[in-house]
Amino acid sequence: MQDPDAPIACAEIILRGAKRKFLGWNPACPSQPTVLYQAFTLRQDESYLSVDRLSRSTCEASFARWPANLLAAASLHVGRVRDLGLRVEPRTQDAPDDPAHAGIVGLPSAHASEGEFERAKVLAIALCEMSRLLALRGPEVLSKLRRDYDQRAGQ
Amino acid sequence: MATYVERALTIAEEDLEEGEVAPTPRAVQAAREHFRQVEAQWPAGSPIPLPHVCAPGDGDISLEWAIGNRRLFVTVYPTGLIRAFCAEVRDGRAADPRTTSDPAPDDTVSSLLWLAGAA
Repeated sequence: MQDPDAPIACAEIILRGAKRKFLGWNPACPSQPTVLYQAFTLRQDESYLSVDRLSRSTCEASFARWPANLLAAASLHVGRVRDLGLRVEPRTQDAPDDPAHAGIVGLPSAHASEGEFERAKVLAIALCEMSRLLALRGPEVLSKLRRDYDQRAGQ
Repeated sequence: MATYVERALTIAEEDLEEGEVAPTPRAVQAAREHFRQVEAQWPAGSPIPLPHVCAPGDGDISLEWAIGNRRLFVTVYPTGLIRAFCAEVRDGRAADPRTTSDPAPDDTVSSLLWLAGAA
């Protein structure tokens, strides 16, 4: 059995789950939802961004473990995240039922000073731009997002 | 635009989960007033770029615009404080980032015109 706390190699891929509210719709690309930058910003009570190690999981297994509101999985390359000066560490102690649980550590709070806010947004852009939308929880997610988009636009 | 933001906020609040805090009345009021004035100052005849609006869950409101390689993020804090961030994306990174705390409506109009220029 693999050691869940084994160091994470730079070559590994991690998955970031995105809630429905952090998924958007790009009218220029109607077949594909987008992950919002806000999905890569810490909430006030978070000290790191939760991710799953793909070497310890699969998209299907992660969706099965994650709360039902996480509708999409975006992939990131660990080495590229570290290039930003952030750490990627196993965090299985925070989620004993998830042997793949890890965290992106070192992000500033967007609720602090103006400088920290700006740094949080700069890092959110870098993380979001390097991420790839890998999977949706189910085919119905697409139509749900489309409906939300039309509702917002008043169509 | 103010109507769009109001409608999007109503939808966003439906996505709130247990333990998350809805946008505070001060945040909602600040967003409503700011974008009402932005709409009033927007040059007639050109469409205002519309944002993705969400309620992250800390009593705040997040608005995101992405057009071409330009990005504009506005956060309305629970206290009603507004912060705006804009940057270009070059090689996957934010270039020339600029942050404004408590932007005046005409600052936001300028940012939106800059954003729309990327279309």
